[in-house]
Amino acid sequence: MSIAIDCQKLSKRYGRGDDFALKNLDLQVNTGEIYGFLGPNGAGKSTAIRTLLNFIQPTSGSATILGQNVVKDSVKAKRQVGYLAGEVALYPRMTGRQFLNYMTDLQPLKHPDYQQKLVKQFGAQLDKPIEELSKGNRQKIGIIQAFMHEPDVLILDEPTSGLDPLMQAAFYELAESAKQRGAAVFLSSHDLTEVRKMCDRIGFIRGGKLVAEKTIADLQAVAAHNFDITFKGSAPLEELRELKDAEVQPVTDNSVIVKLQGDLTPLFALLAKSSVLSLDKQDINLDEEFMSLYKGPKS
Amino acid sequence: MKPIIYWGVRDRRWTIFGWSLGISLYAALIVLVYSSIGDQAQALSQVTDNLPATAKALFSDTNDLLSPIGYLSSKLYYLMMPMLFTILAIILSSQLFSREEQNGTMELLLARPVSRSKLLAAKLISGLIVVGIIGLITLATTLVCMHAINYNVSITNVVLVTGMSILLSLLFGAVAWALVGIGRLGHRASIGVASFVALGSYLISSLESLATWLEWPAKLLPFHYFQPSAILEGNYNWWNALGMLIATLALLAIAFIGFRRRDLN
Repeated sequence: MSIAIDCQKLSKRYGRGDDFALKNLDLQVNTGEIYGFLGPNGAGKSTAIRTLLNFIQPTSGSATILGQNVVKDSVKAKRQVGYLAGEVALYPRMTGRQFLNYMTDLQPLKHPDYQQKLVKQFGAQLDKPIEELSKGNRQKIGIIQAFMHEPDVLILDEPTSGLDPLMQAAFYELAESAKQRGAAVFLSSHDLTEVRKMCDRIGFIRGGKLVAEKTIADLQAVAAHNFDITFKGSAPLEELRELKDAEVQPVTDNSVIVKLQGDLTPLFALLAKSSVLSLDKQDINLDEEFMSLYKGPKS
Repeated sequence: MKPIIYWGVRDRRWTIFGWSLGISLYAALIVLVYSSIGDQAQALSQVTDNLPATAKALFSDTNDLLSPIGYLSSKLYYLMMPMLFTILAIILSSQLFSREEQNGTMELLLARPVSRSKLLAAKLISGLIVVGIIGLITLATTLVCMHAINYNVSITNVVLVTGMSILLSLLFGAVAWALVGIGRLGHRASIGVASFVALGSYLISSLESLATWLEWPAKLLPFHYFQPSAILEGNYNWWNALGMLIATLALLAIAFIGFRRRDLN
């Protein structure tokens, strides 16, 4: 595994103001990894992506894609990049086929059959003018153009926006197969479920700064576990509330939901002393972890 | 670059058709009408001679409005041809460059391994091809009509004056490209400023013979150096054309340098 995208103290300030849209971003994305880039609107996600693609130039710091500087060696860097914009803008009068041919002329395909495979996989409509297509169908063409030349680095801004659940699943599969062949996938998203499902690592950006970077395993380790417990008699509420980092929510007289973070041993020790009729563990809910990072104080 | 040039021209096929038809019909009409007024030119000249110099200056760079050269210069080449091609050149800079940036499709192109310089060069070549095709069709139509009525003006000089009209329009088009390339003004403001420069240049240059205080500023403007009647007569100072070409290239260089260094909007 090697570093595919490397940002070193990457900063961007628009105009002459003091506010940085991106401040000292240090970030690495490895080959064979899907990296999710999360943050509220205006956090700096798109600025980071646009800087990586040299649409805008960094105020300070540097970034490389597969070792190529994104400013000085931008053209070389982009030979290995597939990009999907957040609001995918295509040529409205072209048909999907004409558009894909145009993009292919600018960046030849490694395997011409692969484009056809993607077209079939997504059921893309290629013979209608793009202006007549729905947002979802335009997004399919956007995804195909980003993946069709089998790039080693994929930079995707809100890639599943407008796709139906079936096509979202097809996209997850596509991203996973890119990862399996060793590509680095760097994607921004607002969809926490999607990020949790797809990504190996997640970076949280807020106010132009990377405030946290975690693997899904890290998040799961610190995430609260929810247990739905039914006791034979009354629930031992007082004893449950005394457990460290536990939140107890009574449901009925003999049933409670216990939310517990960290070590589970004290809970099970208590349950061993009680008469328990049923114990259900709910799925780990990472959304709360995400939300705490989203909402945290601006640093 | 080839695909960008190809699509740049292909997408403008209706622009080529419409503009070629419009300008050619206009040129044909102007030339063919001369056959009916040519015989009466002497009589009409007496009327036009009495027109105030101000009025004449607005329409031509020569006082002789009804000789074959004076007519062609005043009716076709002094104002209409360069203005129409200037409008075309400015519209093309908008369509090929700034609108694509505004719509976000330029990002699609720049996400491919295409340098900004090559992208801009390809867009510029597309624009030149479009203007060139329309210019050639217009020239061919004009020459055919002139031949049909035995219009007594040198074909070579008509070719040269058409070329100079296009060069002048490219110079104003280059103002638009430079402004869009630098990117400090918005899309519409860039187009507006370029149009204003073109129109202002024409007005000041056409009025310079009437107001001595306009002579000096007029010399700074390209229209001053565009003298269609002198080209048609064969006594044009071609250093002026070289100056216009250099100014056009300088403006395009500004567009290239500005675009390479700036953020996409």
